Amino acid sequence: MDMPWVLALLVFLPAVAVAQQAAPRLISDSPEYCIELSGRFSALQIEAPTHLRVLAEEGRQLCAEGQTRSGIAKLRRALKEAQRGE
Amino acid sequence: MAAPAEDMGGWRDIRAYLKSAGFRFAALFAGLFLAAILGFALMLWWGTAGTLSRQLDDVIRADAIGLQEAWRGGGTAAVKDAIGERLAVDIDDHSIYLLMDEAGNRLAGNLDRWPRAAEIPGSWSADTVRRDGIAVPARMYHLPLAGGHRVLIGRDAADREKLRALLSEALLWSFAVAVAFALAGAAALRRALADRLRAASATAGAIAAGDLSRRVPLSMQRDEFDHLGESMNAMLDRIDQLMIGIKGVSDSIAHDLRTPIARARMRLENALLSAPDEESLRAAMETTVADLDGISRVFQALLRIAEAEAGARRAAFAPFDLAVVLTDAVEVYGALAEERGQHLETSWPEKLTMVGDRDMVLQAIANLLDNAVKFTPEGGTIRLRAGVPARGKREIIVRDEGPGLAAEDRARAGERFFRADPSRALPGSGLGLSLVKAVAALHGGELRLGDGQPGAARPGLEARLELSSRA
Repeated sequence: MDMPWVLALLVFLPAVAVAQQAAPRLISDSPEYCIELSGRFSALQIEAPTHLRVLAEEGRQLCAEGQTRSGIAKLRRALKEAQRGE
Repeated sequence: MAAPAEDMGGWRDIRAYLKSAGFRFAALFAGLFLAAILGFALMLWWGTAGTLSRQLDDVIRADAIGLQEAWRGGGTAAVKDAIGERLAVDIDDHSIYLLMDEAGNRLAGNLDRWPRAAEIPGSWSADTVRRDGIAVPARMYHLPLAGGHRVLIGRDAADREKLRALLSEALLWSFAVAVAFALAGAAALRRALADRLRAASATAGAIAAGDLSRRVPLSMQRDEFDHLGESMNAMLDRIDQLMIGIKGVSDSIAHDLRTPIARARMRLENALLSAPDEESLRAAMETTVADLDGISRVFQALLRIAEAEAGARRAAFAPFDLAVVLTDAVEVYGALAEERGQHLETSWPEKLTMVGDRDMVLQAIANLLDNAVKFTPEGGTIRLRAGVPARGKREIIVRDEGPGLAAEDRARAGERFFRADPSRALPGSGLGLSLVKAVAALHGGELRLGDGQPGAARPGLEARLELSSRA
């Protein structure tokens, strides 16, 4: 391999790595956030309808099984529907 | 060594091609077509991707206003609550929030740290954030709060970017197709132009080479090229007529002047050889001088016609009263008519001012009266009228009771040396009406000939000389 190519790779690869590092990360897909959403649902002022409670429970279950994103999505749907009813 | 010359020839061909009207029209067509396509693409972009971007910014702006209200109402805690609430019901998981205090501590939101691109307070930025380790585009707004606090409000712009990419690709392909169509259309246009002009060009080339009989072939399309072809053909017909006329004039000069010159020569020769006395010799010489004066008059008339036709006398144009000129002409020809037992009736307004060449107009009137006197029989009436037929026009009408002119002779009456059959026995050169016609043209008018009394056995001739009263 020619020297200029090696030099270019040496310069370019770390730059890509720094760029990847520099981008901020979304943290709303963590198990902690699952718990936070679950707490919000439980703290609702009125009793949520059954199907929403089932939906929230499914969300909790999915979070517990490690399917955090799906669990969060269900919990969010349950919360939104419940707030609409409040 | 021939290569450079060939190269130059090739380069010259390319330059000639680029300068050709066909290429320029084709380039104009292609340019307009592509400009239209570009305009269409811009409108499409503005109406789709642009609208999405504006909507995204509107949503973020509304969100920022809401958070600012929350800050005013309850400070940090209220903003934290508001962010938590909004994230909790964000089913699409598109929202991005980050609340930080003056020390740079993260207080609320779903972003682990503040993006570098959004450092300037109040600024909008487009950056990437990582979701599950994958970089996704995001649109963000830095909202500064009191006390050094700041909040970042953003939205995941992946859908918008996907649409943009799809639209860009579609527009790029469309543009490529449009370029292909524009080039094909331009080539077709250039070829069509070249095809339509080829016939005219070939005709012009043949005429330049000496073949004056060639004419531009016309198509059935009756378009601009056919109009051009018709104009060229009309011009060529006119040139042809003029050439025939010039040839006819040359022939006529040779023919009409040869006889009096030969007669004069013979008379002088006879006198020289056989004159019995000085008196006879003098008489022969006087007759010869009169003959030569006649020839001189013909040349003078030819020169005057040429002057009138060339417009050389236009510099001598001045205002004059046509009524006075008519009176002068009547003084001479009235006496002549009286001698022949003819009646001359006249009628014109007291004043008829106009701008022109007085002498030429007088000569033209004299020629018309001369003809009328010549052809009207004894006891006949000649009518001379003048007036203003329309604004800016003057008209002189001379009507006689002679044999008149057949329609085919009328068409040729203005030609030099033309004499209709009944007039061949009478004195004259056949230049009188030529001069009248030339004077009419010089004064922006025309000479019209017609029957004096249509349907009569001797219809007579009516000559209407129309002149423009302004220079």
